[in-house]
Amino acid sequence: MNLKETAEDRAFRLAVREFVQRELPADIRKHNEEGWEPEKDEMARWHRILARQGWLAPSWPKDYGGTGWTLMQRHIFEEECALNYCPPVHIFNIAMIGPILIEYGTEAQKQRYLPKILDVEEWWCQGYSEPDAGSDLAALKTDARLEGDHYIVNGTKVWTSLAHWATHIFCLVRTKKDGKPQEGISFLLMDMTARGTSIQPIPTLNGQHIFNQVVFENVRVPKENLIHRENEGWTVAKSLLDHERLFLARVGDNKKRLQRLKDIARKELAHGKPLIEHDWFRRKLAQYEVRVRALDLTVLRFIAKADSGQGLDPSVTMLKLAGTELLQDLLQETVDALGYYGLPFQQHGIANDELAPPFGPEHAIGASNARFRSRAFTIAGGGSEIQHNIMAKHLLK
Amino acid sequence: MDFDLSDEQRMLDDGARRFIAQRYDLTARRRSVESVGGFSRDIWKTFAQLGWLDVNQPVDLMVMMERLGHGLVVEPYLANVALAGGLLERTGDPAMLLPRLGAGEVQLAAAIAEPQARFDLHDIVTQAKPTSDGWLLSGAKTLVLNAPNADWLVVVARTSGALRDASGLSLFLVPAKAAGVEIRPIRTQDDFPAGDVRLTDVVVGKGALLGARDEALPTLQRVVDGAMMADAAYALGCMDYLVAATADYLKTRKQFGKPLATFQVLQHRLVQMHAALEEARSLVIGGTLALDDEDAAERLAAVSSAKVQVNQAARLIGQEAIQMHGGIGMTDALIVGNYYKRLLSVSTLFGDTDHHLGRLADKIAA
Ligand SMILES: Cc1cc2nc3c(=O)[nH]c(=O)nc-3n(C[C@H](O)[C@H](O)[C@H](O)COP(=O)(O)OP(=O)(O)OC[C@H]3O[C@@H](n4cnc5c(N)ncnc54)[C@H](O)[C@@H]3O)c2cc1C
Repeated sequence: MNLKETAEDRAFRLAVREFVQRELPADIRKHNEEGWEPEKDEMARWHRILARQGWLAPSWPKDYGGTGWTLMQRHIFEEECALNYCPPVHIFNIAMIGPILIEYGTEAQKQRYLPKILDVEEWWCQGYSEPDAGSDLAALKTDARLEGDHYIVNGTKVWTSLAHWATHIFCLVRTKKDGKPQEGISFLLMDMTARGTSIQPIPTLNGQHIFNQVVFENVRVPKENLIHRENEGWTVAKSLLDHERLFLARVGDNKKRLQRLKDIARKELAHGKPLIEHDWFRRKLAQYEVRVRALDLTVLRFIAKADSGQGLDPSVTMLKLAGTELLQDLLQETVDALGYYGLPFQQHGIANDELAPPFGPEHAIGASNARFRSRAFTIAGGGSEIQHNIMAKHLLK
Repeated sequence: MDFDLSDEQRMLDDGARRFIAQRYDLTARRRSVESVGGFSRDIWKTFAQLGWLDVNQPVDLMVMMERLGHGLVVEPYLANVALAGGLLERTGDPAMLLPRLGAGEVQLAAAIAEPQARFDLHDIVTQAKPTSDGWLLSGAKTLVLNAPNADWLVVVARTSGALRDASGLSLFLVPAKAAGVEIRPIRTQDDFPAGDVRLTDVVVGKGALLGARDEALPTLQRVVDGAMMADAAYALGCMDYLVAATADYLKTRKQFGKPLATFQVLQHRLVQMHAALEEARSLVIGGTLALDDEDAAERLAAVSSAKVQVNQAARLIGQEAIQMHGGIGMTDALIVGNYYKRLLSVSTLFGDTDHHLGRLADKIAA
């Protein structure tokens, strides 16, 4: 056994680091460091920089514009990006619809959509959840009826993140009402500008516009926008996750937030000296270091196994649980480190509003917001309870 | 042992409960938040008419605050009645402001915390220098609740000694409009008006001194302990609301063809929320009744224990309520998120868990 990075991996890491430190615009870095979600413009600028380097879609096969990296290299890339405060890439484009098109799309579909993703022209969102189909996704009801060359789509999608940025939405729709619910679902690509499509913002509890309700009223979708076969959309949706689940651990994000918490603890005072000089506070930091290290090495074990061709252990699900809870705790701890400066409402980008100026020291500005936002990490993408159910089923098989 | 409310306390409780039910729904609350100053002057007048702005006995305040918490009332009751009102009460109220507070005619704020101080009440840089006919005040205060609305500020300043000395602190009554007082308004994450206050060579007369010169800390500590228990009672109301709302939601929301309430893991977590709330309630009652205890060590143990339990229960219950509501829990449309935000503020105001565990730990060593 040898837990040290190989010389090649080390060299790769340094190359990535050098690149992102040189290329990431300072304003984007600052927003990310403060804890804000990226604006669309920030994401687009960063996407273009990565695209120029050929690094926008590392997970895609080389033939489609990917990098052909090993999982270990992808892991190093993501970690370096996170540690250097790069914004995330648009996961619906890069980690979801791209790989789905590559695996299930027809040649025509690939030609039509993949280049526009790499050119940062088209933005996708994910239309899965519905008001009555959340954890029980297979209960979805959005109706798609074939009429000639078109599907006619009617229904309501909810919690659709960043639909207001999107040019397109990939949707799960119902094409068969009898039989097992999973066996009557199809996967459709839809144009957000199609007549009959409307979007309503749903403000989050911290006053942000992240998700939306998307309503379809007799929206006509060309038949060729069906992915895979009719009534087999469930298989397509399920295939998404496998390797991506490794990255739900968010190792880089966790390391970065711990690093930032330490920075803040050097500046904030308690009982007349910096927080970090108190033994009780350093013990808390030490506990976080243990958790981060445990997550890190566990992810590396999964990766080593997968890269050596042994497949991915189904208990990879545990990584999302550990990684999201750790991140939630770190973000709350960061707010706590700020004392009273954790309490003001601060809003990104509306510094003109007299009630929401940046308040307190600069390092305090986005912390409260990032903490509120993080509560969604254990709900979105399959709630933690559902992840536990999946794990339990696997362990008790 | 007697955990029962007196008849008068029960009347207060019923009255506040009725007011919330009839007058303070989500829309009314929104209207208050969006009003100038972040609260409704009409509702404040009603509070005055009902006699609620005169409340000052610890148990009465606990009863009142729990009801206000249950309704997530944003009117600046804590800042006026428990904090500034409490300080005036204990220093003889030379300017006769309490009757006017009771009548709803003045707004008050207590300017205590400073940027470097975290939660230490004695960590005061703000200086008050004697002049021939009064005092000259200079310094900076942070997160002063209700500051943007205040007609008067009660300011803690150092009149002698070094930074972090326990003695040498004094209290001053300062008109918010006095020359040299600069208030930068903000809203807290949970919708309360607050502000940073900067004092630059503010001139006040001899009569502005409240209580004994240099000896304000014990008074300040007692009033803050009282306000802390009042805010803890407010948190009980919030937590009570969230536990009930979560139970209701589990019973009505269906997934996989059955109510969420049928999933055992969620049942157990609801039970944990309830237990955390009831332990918090026990300690808040204990802490509130200890406020008049003359034994300072006993008071500290009771009050800080209550605060630790409330802080921890507030986070557990707030987070779990959101988690079990799923996506809708993350929205602004559902009041649950607003209770969660308020509970997070409670768990920091007047000292977070680490701070109060520290106080308890020091007491063990002493
Ligand atoms: C910020 C955010 C962004 C999102 N973005 C998108 C998006 O872009 N596209 C999209 O399609 N969806 C999106 N979602 C929706 C997300 O996938 C759902 O919220 C999630 O699947 C849970 O569904 P629900 O909200 O209906 O909660 P429910 O399914 O009603 O669940 C409520 C609670 O009950 C628990 N629960 C449910 N069933 C069980 C069970 N059998 N056993 C134990 N516990 C159970 C859940 O874990 C949860 O805690 C987003 C959600 C959030 C919060």
